[in-house]
Amino acid sequence: MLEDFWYRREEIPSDAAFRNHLNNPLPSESGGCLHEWALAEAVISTMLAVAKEKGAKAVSEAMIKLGRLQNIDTEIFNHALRELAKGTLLEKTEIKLEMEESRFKCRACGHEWKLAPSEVGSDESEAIHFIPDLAHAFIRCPRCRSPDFEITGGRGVWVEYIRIST
Amino acid sequence: MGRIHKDLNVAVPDPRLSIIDERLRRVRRIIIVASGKGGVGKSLVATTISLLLARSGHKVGLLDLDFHGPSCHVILGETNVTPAEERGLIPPVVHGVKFMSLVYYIGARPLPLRGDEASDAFVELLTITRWDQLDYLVVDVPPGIAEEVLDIIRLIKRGEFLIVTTPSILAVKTVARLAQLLQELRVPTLGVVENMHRPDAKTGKNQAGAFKFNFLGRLPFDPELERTLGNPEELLKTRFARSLEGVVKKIVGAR
Repeated sequence: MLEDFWYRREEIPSDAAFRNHLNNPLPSESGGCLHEWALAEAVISTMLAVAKEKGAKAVSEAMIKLGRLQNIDTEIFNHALRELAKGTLLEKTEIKLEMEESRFKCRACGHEWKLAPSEVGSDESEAIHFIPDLAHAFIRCPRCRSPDFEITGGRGVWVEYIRIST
Repeated sequence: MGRIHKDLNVAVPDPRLSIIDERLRRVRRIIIVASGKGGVGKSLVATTISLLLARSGHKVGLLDLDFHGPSCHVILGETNVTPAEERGLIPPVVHGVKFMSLVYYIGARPLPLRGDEASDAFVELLTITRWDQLDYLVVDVPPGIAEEVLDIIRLIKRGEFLIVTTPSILAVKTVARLAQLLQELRVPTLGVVENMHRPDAKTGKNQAGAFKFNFLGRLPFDPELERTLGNPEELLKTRFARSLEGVVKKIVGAR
């Protein structure tokens, strides 16, 4: 009975089966719409909400920062922004995109370092692309190997400011 | 004198927060399975409720929010599916349930996140996950009353809490703290489920009564349950799952 129990336990599938997509072609290669659209939607919807709240008649400029850690495809992101802005107050806004380097600081030893997306493996890069905080599952402090670090720069997508006319 | 026109730069808040309501707009009800205490069976309750709801014809999603110890995928078993990337991430359907978890991306690796980082990961996940139309989204919440619970209260105002306890005084005392918090913040709460019930246990119902939450039912301690992990068909045949059917009826009937 006990042997049977352990045998059955071993049949329980590992986590690996949930990661098979990492071997699949990326949506960009198969013509799909990337998750940059989801982030662009969030950015457009927030800028519109702020413009409305401030009583803006026009929005002349928007400065959007993209953290390098998330490895956003700027061409797709920009295209998504332009498409989503059509027919809104943001249609004629000059949208500026600026990249910010990924920076880390180890909480264990105090070491600070930078990381380029090219230094991260493809599986890891895809995970971090979706959820930047997953860096803690893949990246270690190069000095002391601790996973307890702070992402001090280049995390995610944010809007630095919008320039409005009232 | 004409109106003065001004140009000014304006700060913009975190863009992700503005889209979360939109992402959940077509979800009719959101059931938050929480406890405060670890090891009481939240993941089993959340996953089994999802399976039971799906089996009775509802459109169901399941979100595993336990970033440090995800386990819903172990209960659901092997699936050769992954989220599709289409203007966000579309959770794959696993045994009739749209299932989302960070395990798709981290596999069996540890994910040592501090509070703010877990909060960021949660917000990011809500921002990019497209649930589309659902009757029920069931959320499996990790133990404690830290960022995950506070973020749910902050960001998912329609969430209805389902509190899981066991008869043990160790669970009851901790669960009582969560219950007190939910009451204080006037968070919608469906009621309390007592898991791992043994015939000589008496605490669950009394505790629910003390906090004026509905007592939704007892789920028996079922030694057969462990064998069925990874096999939902077998799981749904257990005494545990059959007892949970009564709880599901109450959840469905609560609106």
